[in-house]
Amino acid sequence: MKHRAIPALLLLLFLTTVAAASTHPSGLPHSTDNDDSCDIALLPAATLLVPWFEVDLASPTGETTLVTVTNVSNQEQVARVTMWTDRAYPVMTFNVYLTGYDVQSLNLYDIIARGQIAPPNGTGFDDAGSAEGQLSDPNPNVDHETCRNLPTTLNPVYVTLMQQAFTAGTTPAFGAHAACTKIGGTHTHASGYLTIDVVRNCTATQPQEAAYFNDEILFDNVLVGEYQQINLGENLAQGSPAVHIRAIPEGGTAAQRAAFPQNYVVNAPQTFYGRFMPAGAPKFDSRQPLPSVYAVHWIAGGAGSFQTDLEIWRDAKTGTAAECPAYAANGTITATELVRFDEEENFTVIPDSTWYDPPIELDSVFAAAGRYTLDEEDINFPAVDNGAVAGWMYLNLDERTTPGARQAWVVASQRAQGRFSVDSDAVALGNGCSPAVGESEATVTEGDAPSIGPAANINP
Amino acid sequence: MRAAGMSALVLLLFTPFSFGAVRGTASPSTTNNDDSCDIGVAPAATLLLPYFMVDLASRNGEQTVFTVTNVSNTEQVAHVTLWTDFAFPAFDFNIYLTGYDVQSINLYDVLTGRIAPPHGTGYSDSEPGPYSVPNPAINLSRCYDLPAEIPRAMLTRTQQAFTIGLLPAAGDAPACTNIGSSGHPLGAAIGYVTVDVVGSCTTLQPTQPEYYTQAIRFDNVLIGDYQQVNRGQSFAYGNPLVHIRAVPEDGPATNLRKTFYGRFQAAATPALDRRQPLPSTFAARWIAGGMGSFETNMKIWRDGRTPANAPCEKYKCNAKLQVVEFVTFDEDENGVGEAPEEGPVCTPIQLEFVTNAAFSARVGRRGVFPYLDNGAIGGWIYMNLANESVARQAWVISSMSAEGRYGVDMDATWLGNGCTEELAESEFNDGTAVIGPASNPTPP
Repeated sequence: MKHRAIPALLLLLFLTTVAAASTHPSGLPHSTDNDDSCDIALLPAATLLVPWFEVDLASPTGETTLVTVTNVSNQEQVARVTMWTDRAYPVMTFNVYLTGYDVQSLNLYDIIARGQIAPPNGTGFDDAGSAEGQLSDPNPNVDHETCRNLPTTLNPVYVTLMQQAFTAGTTPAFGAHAACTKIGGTHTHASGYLTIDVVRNCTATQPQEAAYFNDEILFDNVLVGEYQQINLGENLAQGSPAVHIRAIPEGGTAAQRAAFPQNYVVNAPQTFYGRFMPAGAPKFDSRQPLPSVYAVHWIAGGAGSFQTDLEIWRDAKTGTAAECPAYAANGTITATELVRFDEEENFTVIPDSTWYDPPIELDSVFAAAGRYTLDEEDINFPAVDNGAVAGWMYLNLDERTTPGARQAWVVASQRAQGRFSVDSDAVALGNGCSPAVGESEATVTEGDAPSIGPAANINP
Repeated sequence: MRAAGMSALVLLLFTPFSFGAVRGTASPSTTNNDDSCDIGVAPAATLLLPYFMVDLASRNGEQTVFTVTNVSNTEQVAHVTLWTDFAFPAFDFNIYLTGYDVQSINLYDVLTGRIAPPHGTGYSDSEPGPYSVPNPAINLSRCYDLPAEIPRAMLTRTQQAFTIGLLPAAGDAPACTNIGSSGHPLGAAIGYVTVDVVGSCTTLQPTQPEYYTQAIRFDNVLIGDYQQVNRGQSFAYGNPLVHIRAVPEDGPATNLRKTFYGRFQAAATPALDRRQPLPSTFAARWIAGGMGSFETNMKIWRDGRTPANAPCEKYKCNAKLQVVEFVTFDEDENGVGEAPEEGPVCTPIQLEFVTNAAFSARVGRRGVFPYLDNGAIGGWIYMNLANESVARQAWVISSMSAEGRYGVDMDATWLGNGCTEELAESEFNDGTAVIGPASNPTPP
């Protein structure tokens, strides 16, 4: 930490001792309670995020993503799965009914390529009932009758729509919906991200619709999940926990929380679904916000033919009821700063546009979700100019266009020798409530730019 | 949450003025960085590699590689301790890190006699970058030429400690036995690693009280990851290390009622290390058998029982850490649990339902975990690793492989944070506790 931050930190600590609504009036941490901070942790959550999926539609032995969701409570729950394009267009939504302690695995190849959701039994509550353990209990907040006989096989029209959306970024005209273009990028493999929310019923309402938060969302931190990215043909597998995003405070239904908002005041400066929230209740979803500044280990080249890909998820720009043309903007979200260090602490940054005559724009630009290989071809990342094969990268993924820092998530996906592969989450340098950070002294060489490093302990 | 619990919750929600301090105002109580008991993947003062396995006979065999990065601009010293699976600190060394420095450590190299070849981990071989600044709080006098080669006698001792749990006599130090397990597959070295930010290139170890008064520091500046690689079998697993923050980094004393290194603290200063405690209750995914020949091993770290300066004959107690219960669920919510019939103690040692401080155990066979005999090949396991009426700390990694060619490691989800009160046996083992996420407020 920079030494100059310490006196200010101490001052704040003493000034806020009395004011903080705390379980411990003196000393730190302010709270030792469960589910009572902005820190993203591997704890049961109300929303799970799989930041990137990739499915080779041409081959069942190609790239695919497996997702598992588990209800670790004794009460039945409904998990609403929404599959988004890499430009944050919600293409496909379905529900998973979970009895107490239930587990459901999903192969996205089955869904996107074959139009099958969790074959052969599906994800619903069928006429014959659903397998139920001896200690599973009903949930008075869940309308499980709406989950009876959920479709396992999708209409081919939906399958075509999904495949076009996730590979070409287009959807054909469908019913009352006009055709859409540029709602996603163009990919060899179907690509995007998905969210899983705890909800009270099995409908097709999506997070960008007002009714989703007015009526259907729930706030119980009961879901856990993970994903595996598998390529049978290349003998590669990576996996990681899904991002576990808790509702804080927990509990109640949307109706109860709307009726008694004084019982559910959210201290976080922003929330995960904030862009879909109405102005009158801007943090109604109560989901923890994700951080925007990360540090990630990279290794590329060398004797082991190492390769590091970064899977980057970013909060999109489109809000509730956005029209198709608006989604193109989610394909070009700029970043504040990327700094690439080698193992000798040498660093490089994206060249400033003024380095060139005439100036050229060289900002790092990413889609709402993407997978990027750290090589010399990708100008979004600072180049290595000394032959280094390893180090770490600082990513400040705020866009500096919104009052709070733009949320993000980063996964490092490393491979070697065509046979080894691992995924691991990047380290967040502050939590989702930390204030936005400007360009560092690595980029701004004049004046008093901040140093790169962990966020200060106490936020203003 | 149980239905009954939910009813009570709903009732409370409709009683606006009956909430306690936390919910009566707003949540979360803190939005600050580094201000909770929650373990996050955020810069930390201590990193934990919960389990390592190194085949000393072959560079192409099982290996564990980990990386430590200093993400601050200020130079730091990281103290690395290698512990046996009975939590005996058998070997330690220091890493000097300039600002923004990275150091990779291959434990095969270390356990065959070389620390970070060819340059080692000392000050003399570390060129600071342009934005690295000195750290006036640390003493670098002993960091200059840190040894890269381990003397032969010390190497033999170290290898025996991690492979057969034996430390031969050396100088005035008597031989120690039963400081780790033996009979490892391939004679591999097994244990766990801690990495602490310290103020000097110290030879003190975390088991010594002086470590916390003279050596340890509290800056959350380190990040790290590990890879478990087996070249011969073409397997690789990887994950972030466990990032354990000091809270607070500076200023007033900690509010933590217990800490990661709590068992080494003096009674008068029980939380001097300020490290966040780890949880004790976990939910981990498993898959075993089936067409893909799936296999799941749980890599588990548990807080030992031995206090500061324990004589070596006491370390066998860390092989007998009681488990409250395991419950194995399949994907149809059938559950089967196991729990000890009687209370646990080390003396006399009770051999029922106990584990080492660090171990790996396979799911889906009769053995450590409750066995479902209905042919199920997947589900999840509830693990309550508290023992002796305290929420003893733990960490669980679900290590899954398939078809002899795919492998992934991922941390298990914990059901409460490290400050959450311990949970007794559940309904699955004739107890009354309901398996599920911990309640939100922790009783003061």
